[in-house]
Amino acid sequence: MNQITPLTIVYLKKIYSSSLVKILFLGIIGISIGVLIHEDFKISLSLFLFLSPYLFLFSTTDMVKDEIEMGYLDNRIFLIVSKERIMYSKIIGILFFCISSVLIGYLILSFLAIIKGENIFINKKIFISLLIGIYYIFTGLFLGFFLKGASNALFLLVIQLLSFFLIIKISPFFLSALERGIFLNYSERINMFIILLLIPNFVFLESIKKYSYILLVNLGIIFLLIRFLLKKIEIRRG
Amino acid sequence: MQSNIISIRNLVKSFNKFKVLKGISFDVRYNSITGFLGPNGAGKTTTIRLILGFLNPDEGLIEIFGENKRHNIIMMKIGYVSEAPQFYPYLTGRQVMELTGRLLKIELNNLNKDIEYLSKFFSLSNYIEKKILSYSFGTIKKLAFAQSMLGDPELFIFDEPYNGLDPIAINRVREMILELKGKGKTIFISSHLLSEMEKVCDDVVLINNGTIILCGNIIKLKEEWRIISAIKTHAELKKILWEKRGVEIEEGIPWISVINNSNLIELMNEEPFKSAISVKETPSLEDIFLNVVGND
Repeated sequence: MNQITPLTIVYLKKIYSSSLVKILFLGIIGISIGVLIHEDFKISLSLFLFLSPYLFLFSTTDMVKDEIEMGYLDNRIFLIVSKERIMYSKIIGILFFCISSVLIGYLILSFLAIIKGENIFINKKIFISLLIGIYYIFTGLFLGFFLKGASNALFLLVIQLLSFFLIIKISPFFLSALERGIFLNYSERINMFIILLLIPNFVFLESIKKYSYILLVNLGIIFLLIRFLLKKIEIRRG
Repeated sequence: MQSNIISIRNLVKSFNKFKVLKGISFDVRYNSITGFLGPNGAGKTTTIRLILGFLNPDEGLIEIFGENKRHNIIMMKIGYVSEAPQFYPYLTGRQVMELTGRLLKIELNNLNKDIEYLSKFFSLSNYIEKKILSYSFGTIKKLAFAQSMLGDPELFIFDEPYNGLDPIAINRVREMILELKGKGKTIFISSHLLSEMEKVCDDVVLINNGTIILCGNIIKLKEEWRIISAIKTHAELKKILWEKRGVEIEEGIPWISVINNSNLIELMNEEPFKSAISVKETPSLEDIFLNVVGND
């Protein structure tokens, strides 16, 4: 732990110095405030919680392949610290930043809602939002082994869009199955598993919430894949 | 106690099916300065990265401090400067030093003193509070040297340490290397600067095309080179050598294979070799390097 803490601070500095993450956070909070002004606190909070996992995803940019190829790991610090500890420090740093950002966003929206004269409440979806966010951190880091810059996050976004349209095209009744939360045959269940793997935000749907455990299973699989890649990875400049 | 701080045996490494190291073996003695020489692409940096555990070997054994596992305690005893070091640009020089010190578990007061001393030694005092983003390549390299000294490591590994440094800094690094040797440390350096290597090294390891083609004490190698160059141009000596030792020296035979297979140093005091050798000049490391690499 005494190795992870100082490195976590380093990665927190990295995230705080990222313009992309700052713009994204301000964008999400700005849109949510806009909705709060025109609609109500409930809708704006739901939107904020739906979008904030993408902040987690974009916080994973430049974290793996770029660091190796730029040579940032080619110095004495990384002789002393194992690759696993470096990765855990990154995960903790991103988690700390993102969870605190979600809480700050929540407080800002609540404060504005009080000024607007609305009642505020704790939406349980905040926990789902955090679970999805954590899932995105692991997915982003996993993709970061292969893709540089923000391309890991963009790749996932493109895959999400494509898979969404593909599923509608191949299985037009699947959306209604998602709405109902009832999957009649294997094909629909497999589709649901794939869609949660690629677009975990679907667990925001009341009907799908009970399948949140699938996210935990997928999270475990991605974690094992990351551990496997860490064992194989070599610090070699591009 | 073991005599070798680094032992490498039959090390093989390939990238995309291209064999960069073809089964190399050599040792680095405790309290020595060993130069790791070779032309570009010979496999020097790959070897260093394998020693440090940044790369995984395909085959072979690497022992550091008598152990082949890279655990934390072992790695803390190594000071390392890469050919082109990089640090997170959003940190300051001091933050890099403090982070390294904390990871090395250096007590805070001592760490601050070390940072002050090393900043002055490497002329970093004006930069240490600035973000690395604003550093030149040479300043980053100086910071890497300062970082490598923290925690008083026993073994130093420098990959092309003089690249990107001005003459003053080169002189400072040379002083530092000799000072470290005086303190009983071991230094393993890869470099292209043969004259610089000659000034500081006790031993050399010469690598070309992923194969070690020469290693040993510099003084001994130079003497052997003198002997061979004397015999090479002397038909009678060649004949005596062949009759006495069964060693053949011909134009087509790389002299290094002769050195590796016979103990010629004994001949220096034997006539008629003694007189023939005495007129030959002692070669520079560059002469040896060019001869060996040229013949390869």
